[in-house]
Amino acid sequence: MVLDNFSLNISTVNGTGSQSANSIFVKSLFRSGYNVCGKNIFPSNIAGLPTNYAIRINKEGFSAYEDQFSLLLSMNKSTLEEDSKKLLPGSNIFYNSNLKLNPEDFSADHNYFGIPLKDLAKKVVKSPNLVKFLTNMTYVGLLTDLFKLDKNVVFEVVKDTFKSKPQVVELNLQAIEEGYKYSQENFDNSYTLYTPDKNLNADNVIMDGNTSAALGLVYGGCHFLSWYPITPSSSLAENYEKYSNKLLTNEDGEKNFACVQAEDELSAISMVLGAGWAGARAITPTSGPGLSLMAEAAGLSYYAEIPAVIWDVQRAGPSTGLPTRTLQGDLTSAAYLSHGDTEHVVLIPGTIEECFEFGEVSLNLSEELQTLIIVLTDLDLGMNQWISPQLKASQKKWQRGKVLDASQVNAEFKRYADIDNDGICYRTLPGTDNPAAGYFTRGTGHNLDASYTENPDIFVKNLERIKKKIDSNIDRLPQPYSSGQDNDFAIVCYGSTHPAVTETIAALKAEGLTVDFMRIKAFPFHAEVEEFLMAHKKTIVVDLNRDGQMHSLLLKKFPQTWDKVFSFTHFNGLPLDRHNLQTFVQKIIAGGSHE
Amino acid sequence: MSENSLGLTKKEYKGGPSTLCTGCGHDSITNHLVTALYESNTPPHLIAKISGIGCSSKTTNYFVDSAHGFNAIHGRMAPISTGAKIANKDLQIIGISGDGDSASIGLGGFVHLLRRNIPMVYIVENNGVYGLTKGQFSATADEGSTVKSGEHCYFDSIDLCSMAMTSGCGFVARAFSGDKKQLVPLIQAALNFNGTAFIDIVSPCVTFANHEGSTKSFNYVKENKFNLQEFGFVPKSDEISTDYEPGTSQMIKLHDGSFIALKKMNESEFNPTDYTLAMSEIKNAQDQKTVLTGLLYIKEDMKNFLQHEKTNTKTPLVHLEQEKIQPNQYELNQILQAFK
Repeated sequence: MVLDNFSLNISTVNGTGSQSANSIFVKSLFRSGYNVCGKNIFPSNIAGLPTNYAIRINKEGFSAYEDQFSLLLSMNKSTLEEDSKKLLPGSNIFYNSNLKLNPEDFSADHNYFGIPLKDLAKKVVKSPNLVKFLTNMTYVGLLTDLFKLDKNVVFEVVKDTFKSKPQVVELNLQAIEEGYKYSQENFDNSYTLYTPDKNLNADNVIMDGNTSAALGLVYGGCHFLSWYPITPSSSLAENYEKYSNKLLTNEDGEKNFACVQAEDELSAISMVLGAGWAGARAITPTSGPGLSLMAEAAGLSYYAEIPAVIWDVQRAGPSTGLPTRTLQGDLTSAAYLSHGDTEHVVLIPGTIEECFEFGEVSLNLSEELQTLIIVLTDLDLGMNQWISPQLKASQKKWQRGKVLDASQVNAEFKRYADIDNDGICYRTLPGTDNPAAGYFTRGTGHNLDASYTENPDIFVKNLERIKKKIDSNIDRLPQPYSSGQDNDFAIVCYGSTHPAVTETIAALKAEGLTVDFMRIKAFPFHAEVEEFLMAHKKTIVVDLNRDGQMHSLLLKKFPQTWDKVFSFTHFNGLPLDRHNLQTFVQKIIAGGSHE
Repeated sequence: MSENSLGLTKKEYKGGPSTLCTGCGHDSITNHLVTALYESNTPPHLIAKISGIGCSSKTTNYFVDSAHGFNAIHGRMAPISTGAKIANKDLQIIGISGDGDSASIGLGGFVHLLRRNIPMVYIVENNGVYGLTKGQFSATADEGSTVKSGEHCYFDSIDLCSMAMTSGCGFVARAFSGDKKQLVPLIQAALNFNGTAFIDIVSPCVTFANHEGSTKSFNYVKENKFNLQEFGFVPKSDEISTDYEPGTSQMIKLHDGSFIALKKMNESEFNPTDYTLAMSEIKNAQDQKTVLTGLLYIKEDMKNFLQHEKTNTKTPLVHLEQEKIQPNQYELNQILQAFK
């Protein structure tokens, strides 16, 4: 049977180098021309705990996570039973027989094949430490044979991965060869995948959203990044520094950027405000707990109108929650971060390309609107491997907003005067050589020339203008993506659930049910979001959180749609699998109502 | 009216009227700052006045009106200054904070700014009390002292100067708000220091901490103050006068060529370049319930944050426009090879 869709689960122990082995196998599939994605379901731990790697191959281009697998590769005895539960009946389990599993524990639903992977690794190397790492590499050889991949493609990936270390390349190649040979000699039950299009990925890349975002910041003109280490956002900051060292450093070592690892998130966001106030384009990447700590400064940015960007790679909360699992749980908190009336601009990229683009977009908006912009991705988009078209550097001019230089400023200058009647006032930067340029930025009540006032009318007018500033400039925010039209039913989603939702829609279509689709990319919402909801009899809103946070925001903004929008939620920390959503949509369309 | 070398009068370094209590030590500090900035010929447009929240933090509004000021949120003067200075290294950052702002809510930011050695003047106007919230103890209140209500302080005070030293600060001074002669040259030296210059200024709170039980009242400080040195600042352009004859004075050369001239007082053997001695003298003074003032510690040969290889920026970041720094598609393609 030719397999057009296949999900396999590699179950390992973290800290044993399995991540390298998995990445090499995924990249080999990618180079072979398959549509593939790799999702690392890992523990919050350095070494010794179970970790799973889900790989999906799909001919039609679907890349959502599937919570049911057709093959289990088990390198972890302790989770075999748990892992088997997610394995379709009749599937094969290949396990490391050096782990001495008890055949009495085997379930009748699956076929078990033991391979002495550790012994194979020992053929290559003697040091116990290296054996541990190479044992994982042997299964790459096993899988290469089972899926009939071109061994040379895999070898090339290994060479590219460890290119600066020829000895490491050699050992890994030998380990892969051992696994490959063993499989050839012992198994004839290989898997016949669909014939790949060898050119499919010629112009594509396979990468995670944090790397793409980091590059997007370098290309989008980010002068300054401050951060405090937190999973799953750390790699965004690390990659920003890595690529800036490469791309934003002069030959004499002069840096055209700055990256500061702060003492905590309170300082990380405060440094961004200091830099933004001084006129630099500045950002801090973080995740939920960091976002909470940044709340007070978020209000300062909003009220004193200082450009700033927070890039929140969401993980599962509340509290420390599941730090290595994915969720969209920070949406309402981001939208209204801080005390008092603060409604922020929130941007939500949903693809690797958008992670790249939104670097420049968020920095532009922060300077144009002179306010905090919060970008929300999540662990799934930020840290997992997604195929994407080649990233393209933007040809657009960076938008620096309304800044008066020394020649433009005069005695009439008032920092908070709405000269253009669009809510956006002109600002000056410290260092501007004109005595009229200086003003006093404050988080306290202020009048047009930024002096302190407790005047009730002025306070009201100021808060109203700030609201107008954002609401009348929604068109500058990224437009929602939509497809299909004039059908009665629709699905609305945001961020990383895009692949699962589009696959659901395709599956429904195959059953004769056509539904429209919209992916929201920004809050506050564009007018067309409201039009879209009004134009459909029923719309299902997909959230990766318990409370249906996007659903609530839509109802808050468009209360007249209350009987037309339905909330679908998924919040177990794993990426969305389409099956539950599909069932839910069918039920709602068939006449299900609000529970 | 006299002018400084920029052709500016002292008036041009003044700010708006103070709203602090009449007689507040903070207002004296503001006046000394105005004098120091004027005499140092600091271009007003390059001054960035940054503060947190509290009575002291309000004072950024009371000097150099034409400069940009930023009265931010409680405890965050340090990281906001860090961001501003890194963004535009041409700015002369004057950070004004208080004992609540720096010794409690902002302690982390205080320590880490010093550790990074961000070039700026960091002033704490220290009165041992939360004034704006009406007289609670701060963490710099001394054990055994009382607040206005009579409540007793049971805990040791946090000594910001020794903390600054252990955090790697290369310019640590303590002063008294009422001592213009000492404070003005100290601030001038701080303005010329190649790194964070920290000055802890004891500044009596006339409303909540100027009574008998306070160790930061005018009378207490006047009676128990011990001046380490007579302090002079010699700008780069000036000749060293006979007042500072070698042998009787210690001359410390700053990176820009200016000098700090220290005339030893009271036969003291104090040498501010001796870290261990400075630490022990601070502790001794504390034990004897005296207020040691002067330049406590100086280390001139330190790299500041912007001079390290990792963070070596030359052109102020705010002046780096798209045409100058944006990499091209070819370079992006090279990087993306690793993801193919």
